[in-house]
Amino acid sequence: MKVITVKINGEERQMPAKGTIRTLAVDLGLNPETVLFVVNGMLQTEDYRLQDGDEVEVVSVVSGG
Amino acid sequence: MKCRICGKPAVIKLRAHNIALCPEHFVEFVQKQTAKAIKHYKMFEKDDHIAVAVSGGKDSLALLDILTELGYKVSAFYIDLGIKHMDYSKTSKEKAQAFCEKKGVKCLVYSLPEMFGMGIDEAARKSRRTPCSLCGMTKRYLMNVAARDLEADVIATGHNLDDQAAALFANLMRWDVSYLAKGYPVLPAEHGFPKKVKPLVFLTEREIAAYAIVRGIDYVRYECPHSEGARFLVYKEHLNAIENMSPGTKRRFYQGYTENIWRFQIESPDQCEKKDEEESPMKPCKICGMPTAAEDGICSFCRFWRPDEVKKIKGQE
Repeated sequence: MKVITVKINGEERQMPAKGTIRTLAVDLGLNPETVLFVVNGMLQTEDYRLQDGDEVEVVSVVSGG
Repeated sequence: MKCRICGKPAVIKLRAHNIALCPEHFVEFVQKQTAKAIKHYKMFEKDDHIAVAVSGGKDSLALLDILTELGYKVSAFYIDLGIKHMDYSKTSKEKAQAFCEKKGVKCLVYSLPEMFGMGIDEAARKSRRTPCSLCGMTKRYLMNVAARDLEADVIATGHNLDDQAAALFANLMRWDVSYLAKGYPVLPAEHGFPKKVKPLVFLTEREIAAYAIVRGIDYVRYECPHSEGARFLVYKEHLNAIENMSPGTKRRFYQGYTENIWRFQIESPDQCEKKDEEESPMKPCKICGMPTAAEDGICSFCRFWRPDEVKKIKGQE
């Protein structure tokens, strides 16, 4: 299986090629209602297909009130 | 995914509304939702002067941005709680002030360390109170002071749909009827205190965070150290789990409540009796002049933060 390397919040991670943000969220066990994904500085939707070398910032949106 | 309106690449999918939007149309969506809430709940008019409580976080800075973009007359104030952990207050203040400057909005700062020589943590330790209860009392007081100093008609805070829905959920779990009667996003001016409103109640935290990112708003990404593990977050987590299964639940839950709030505002005979016993006329605090219902005429803020002046007043009596 072909794999790609992406950086998630600064840490390198390998994942299957053609993986999307949606599959990444599932792998990380995240509820999509509680996070946003910024890829290479741009906000992206869940169907964004990750590319080798992408830098992903997982932004938590939940605050303590 | 393409923008439902223009077909350009979308940056966000809003499952509760079943739409995906590009940056331009998402910004328009957020601003329209805010304008709709302001109108729906009769929060304020175009010529009102609005004091926005800014914390340096996403919600309050997004609110400031939206209100200025909608053309409202806005001023801001920041309450420096002196939280030293991870330079939380220092960073928050810098972000809040920098954004206000960028938007050309006047920002007053009320700093506990400068006013009283200590921050909320030290004060909580000394008084053996929890920082959160002390923080609530202190912020409520200083918000009223800020509105007075800015000569504002109304105070606006960045509470969003998730905050309101989680508070409602928590109050329902306890059947706290007195709080259930007060969860409306508008608190009218009364007893000499200004009107308080929450214009972001139609928007989720996720939508507001996305707005802040798209608009390039530099906000504090980490949380107040005292909110870690707070019960409030557990309620949010559960609501988000339901929202993920059934998009739009939070909105229906909170908006349904605002339509039915009158059901909680009917007081039982016991509550009326209690209210009669509790209610005493408001008078100006003997120390600061702000309205207080305290029998001895000293407000809870002065009682806590100005003990020397309390002693002086008590000595004269």
